[in-house]
Amino acid sequence: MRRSLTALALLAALLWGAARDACAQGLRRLAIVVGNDTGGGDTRPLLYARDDARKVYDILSRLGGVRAEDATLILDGTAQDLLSALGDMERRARDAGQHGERVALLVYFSGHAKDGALRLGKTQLPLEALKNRLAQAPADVRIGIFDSCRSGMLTRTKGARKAPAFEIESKGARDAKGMVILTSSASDEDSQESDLIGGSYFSHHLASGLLGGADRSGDGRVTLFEAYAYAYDRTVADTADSAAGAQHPTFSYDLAGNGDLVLTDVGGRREGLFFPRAAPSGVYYLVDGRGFVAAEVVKNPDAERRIALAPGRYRVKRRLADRLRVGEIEIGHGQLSTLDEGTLRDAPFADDPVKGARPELALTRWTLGLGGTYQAIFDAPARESLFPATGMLGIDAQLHNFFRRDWVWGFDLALGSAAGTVNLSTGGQVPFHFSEIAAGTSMLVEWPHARLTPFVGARLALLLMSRTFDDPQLPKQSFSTLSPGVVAGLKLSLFGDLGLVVRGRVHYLLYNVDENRSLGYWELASAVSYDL
Amino acid sequence: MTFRKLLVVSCLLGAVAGCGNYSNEDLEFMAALPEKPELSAEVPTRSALMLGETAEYYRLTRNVSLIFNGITEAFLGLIDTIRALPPTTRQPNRRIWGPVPAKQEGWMVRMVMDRAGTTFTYDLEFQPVSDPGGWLRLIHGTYAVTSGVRHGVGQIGIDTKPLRAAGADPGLGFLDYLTVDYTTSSFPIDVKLTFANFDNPLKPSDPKAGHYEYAVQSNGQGALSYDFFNDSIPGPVLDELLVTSRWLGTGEGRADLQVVSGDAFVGAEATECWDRSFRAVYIDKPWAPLERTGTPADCAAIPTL
Repeated sequence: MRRSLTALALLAALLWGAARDACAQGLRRLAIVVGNDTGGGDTRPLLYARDDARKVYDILSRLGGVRAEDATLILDGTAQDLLSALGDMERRARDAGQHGERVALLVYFSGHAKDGALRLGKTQLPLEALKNRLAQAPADVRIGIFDSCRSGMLTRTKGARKAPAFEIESKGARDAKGMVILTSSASDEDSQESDLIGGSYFSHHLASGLLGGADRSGDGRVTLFEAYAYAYDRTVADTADSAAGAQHPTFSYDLAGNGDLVLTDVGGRREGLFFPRAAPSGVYYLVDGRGFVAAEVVKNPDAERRIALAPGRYRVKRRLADRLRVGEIEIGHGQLSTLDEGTLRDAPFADDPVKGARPELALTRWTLGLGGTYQAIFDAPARESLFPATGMLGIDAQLHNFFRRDWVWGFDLALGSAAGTVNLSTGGQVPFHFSEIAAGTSMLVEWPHARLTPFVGARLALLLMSRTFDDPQLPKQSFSTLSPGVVAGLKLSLFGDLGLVVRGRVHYLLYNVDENRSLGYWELASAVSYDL
Repeated sequence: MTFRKLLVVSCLLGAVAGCGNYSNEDLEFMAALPEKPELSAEVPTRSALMLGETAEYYRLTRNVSLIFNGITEAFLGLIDTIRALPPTTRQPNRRIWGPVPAKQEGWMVRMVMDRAGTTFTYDLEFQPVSDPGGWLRLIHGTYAVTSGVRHGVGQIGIDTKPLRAAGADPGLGFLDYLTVDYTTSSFPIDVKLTFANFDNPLKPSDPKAGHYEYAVQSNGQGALSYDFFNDSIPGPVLDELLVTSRWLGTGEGRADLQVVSGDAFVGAEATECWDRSFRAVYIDKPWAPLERTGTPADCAAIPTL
């Protein structure tokens, strides 16, 4: 990979002049930015795909020379939305070409990809079809950036060459024409998200690079190759020790002619944070108000860096071997603030300003259920004359991913009644009408699969039981208790947001009126659930 | 804080361990306590009876049944007041209800009930709040279950003297003592009630003692025997009559009287029969020959119980 990066750098250097010319000539830039956290029933929702898309969209609009009317942001859209936007951009590109403008079309996608197709919610778009569509788009340069699992298969397919194999044409200064594809991971790798940075590693580093972190040349412009090289280095480094393994972004191109493409013009906008030459070298983290890393900057010795952060207040962190150096900086509108090392202070690692996110909150959702339950005490004598087997109707509400991902906090309420008979030890029978209200809260762990979601957990129920007698002289009797238990079940996704839940519970019940008796009971329930 | 509020708070606090009165054994104890339906005399009646159109001794029998029921309801009300509460103590073969404040200010009341096999005993006791030294018993009862719920043999004894001596009003009028023996094992159900009253200065004519016997079949056929004091036979002395009334579930009945003491006709017997509309169809009173009506054949055949 190092070979490829070297080659990329060389390519960037050789084509530098042409790129600047192209930029100067007023390259019309069109962008479609897509983010979708969901990918259908057989995928687990992502946390930050939409945030990544917003971030890239903001950078392209603010620094990438993409006019507002030429940029489309699609969040949680469908494949048809993407194709429709692509058709619109193709029309714009064709019009621009007819007016003699050179056009660059950039498509960024952050979301799920599986089985050779991008997943946009419950819709799919075959990668090969999108690639062909992009290849045929009437733009001089087509750029596809795909941040999704196994997106590297796009760079394996026919018509594109992986970075390590590309050749550099050094003759002539023709403007580049063709297609470039960047992917966040190789064809057999997952693309990973990070709760600390609040995004995917690849998009985070790509964004940091586009903000200026990738400007190796220090000319205030970040080219496609620079951005890729920066994102590659940082993504591999950050994911090397992750449980999912290192993630290797890929790059391929099918270009005729020469010329790197400037993606962002950091120098042209005197707004952001300036790292003077005197600032200590190292990796600087610029943390936004939410505790997310807005940008990472590698500051080399004796080099300047300019990061085009959006106006706002940031905390600055630089990590040393034994401590942190932290501080705060304010970036005003149209203001280029300069980092002053003297304003930073030493801080222990415990005071790391990077707090990250509660990722489960991003996925927090409610499910409502309505169904029936059959409940019975294990002990036969108690079941016959104390607490009869009871059919119940109930509702439940479940809060998913509130405490942590795939944890479900549930609340349920059920009412039921039954008839029973007390067999007195002195002989004779006393018939009664039994009724019960059960209110419970449960903590479950679920494992979402394609259509089936098994779950297990614990439940605590408040049981309010009472009975009345045909004999008017016998007073109403009642019993209330807290009953702990375990739950296991299966949810079957039906259609839309509807599901069918089958659930079993086993509970402990301490009966202590006549005597202390440990009774257990079981429940079988089925319910129709609806995802809000 | 009332007893009920205390109970609710205790339930909330003790929810983890469970709380309530949901008890099968409580049912056994409560089923052993006498109830109004068991100790009530039911004489057939109709709504809107016209006074003067009904037989004299039917009216008397009905009135006596109301007195009979009034007596039993008075002491059963005391038991019901306690029974409406859940037991405060549950021990093997023992339940205690209360103590709770009694109607009589400054007194507490409780009921202790013990069980030995199928026999239950119970005591309704009072204690002054200011002197919680010992409990004074007002009611003592026993009940032996014979064949299931509310089938058994019971005795109830009420003695108001200890409470009156301690300065408390038992809430039972001028009752001195009362004994009740009842059998509900099988039909006919019968109840025997004997009482003695203290003098009522406002109503000196009230009986000082009395004895009632009541029996009823499942089909409504019943009988009520009672002592009755009035001035049926002209003269200065109040006459004592021993009356035995019997009736069918459909309403027809008869009353057979014997003069126990009085101005005259001591030992004489009289009979009155009535139809299902409670109108007299046969009257034979030796001391009132002019009232004679009908013949013995006009009386319905009513088996003895």
